[in-house]
Amino acid sequence: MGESDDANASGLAELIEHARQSAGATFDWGGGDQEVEEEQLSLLQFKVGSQLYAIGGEHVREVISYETSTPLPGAPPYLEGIVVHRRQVLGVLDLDAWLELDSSTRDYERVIIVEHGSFQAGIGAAASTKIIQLVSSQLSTSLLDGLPPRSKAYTKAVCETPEALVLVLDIAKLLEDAAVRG
Amino acid sequence: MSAQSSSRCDVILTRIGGLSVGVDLGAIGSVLDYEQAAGFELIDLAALLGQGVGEHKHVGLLDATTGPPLGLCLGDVIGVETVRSSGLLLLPEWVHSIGSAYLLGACFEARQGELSWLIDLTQVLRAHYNTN
Repeated sequence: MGESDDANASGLAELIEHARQSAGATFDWGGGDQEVEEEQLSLLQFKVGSQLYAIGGEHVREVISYETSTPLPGAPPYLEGIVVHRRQVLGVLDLDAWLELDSSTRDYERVIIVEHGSFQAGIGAAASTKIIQLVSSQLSTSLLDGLPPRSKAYTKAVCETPEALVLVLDIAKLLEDAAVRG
Repeated sequence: MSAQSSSRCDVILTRIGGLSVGVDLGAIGSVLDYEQAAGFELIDLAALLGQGVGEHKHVGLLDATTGPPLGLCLGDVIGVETVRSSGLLLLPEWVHSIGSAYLLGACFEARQGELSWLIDLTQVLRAHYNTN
């Protein structure tokens, strides 16, 4: 290798270092014109009354059958009651009541056990729960303004599916507020 | 609750409105028919638990050391039940905090698996003496 080759090798090292810095800590071997990858989201979709909601999968611990709940004396209307699951007492939230929406029927057939930090609660829901896979671009915040004020306050984004609009709940805020509201 | 040992306690199991309720047997001197409690100062547990003015069949005579005889309207007494610590179902703190102030922070499964609430007699008496 001659002198010019050494200069060339040094130039490549500089080029690689430059690319490494541009791409962050690791070198991007994939070429220059890649598309930015969208975040993949896994959400649990469920229905309360006539409204579809979704919760980030990281907040969902379990979905169990709802048979009956025991009303807690003195509790506000948004606490449907308590259920006992594997000897653990869970407060079941009535989402319609919490969001101050009209609800003529409570057709609960499932309890979605959600958690955030130290808070755990159940959310009463209809039978039709399912996992939906989305990419972040499918979520919109522009439709939030059309929601009732309390729904808007606890909705992170809206997703338009073939079936209907799905409200993606801010479950962390909901649990924190429900737990301190009383 | 007054524990017979550290692991169990007897409670009077009663029905108040639509609720199944346990009251510490150790705090109740005797259980009378409602008619026998005429002239007693009475605490209406149903009203405290938001069950409206209750129809009571029984009254528990509280072991009050001073003042007139004090009775606790017990609704319809079913019997006595032994609650073991292993049978207690602890309420999550946030659930306990939004419920009635007259409940202890646990419930238990009574006969036929029905959930029964445990009454915090300290809070009941405090409320009674604060309003009288």
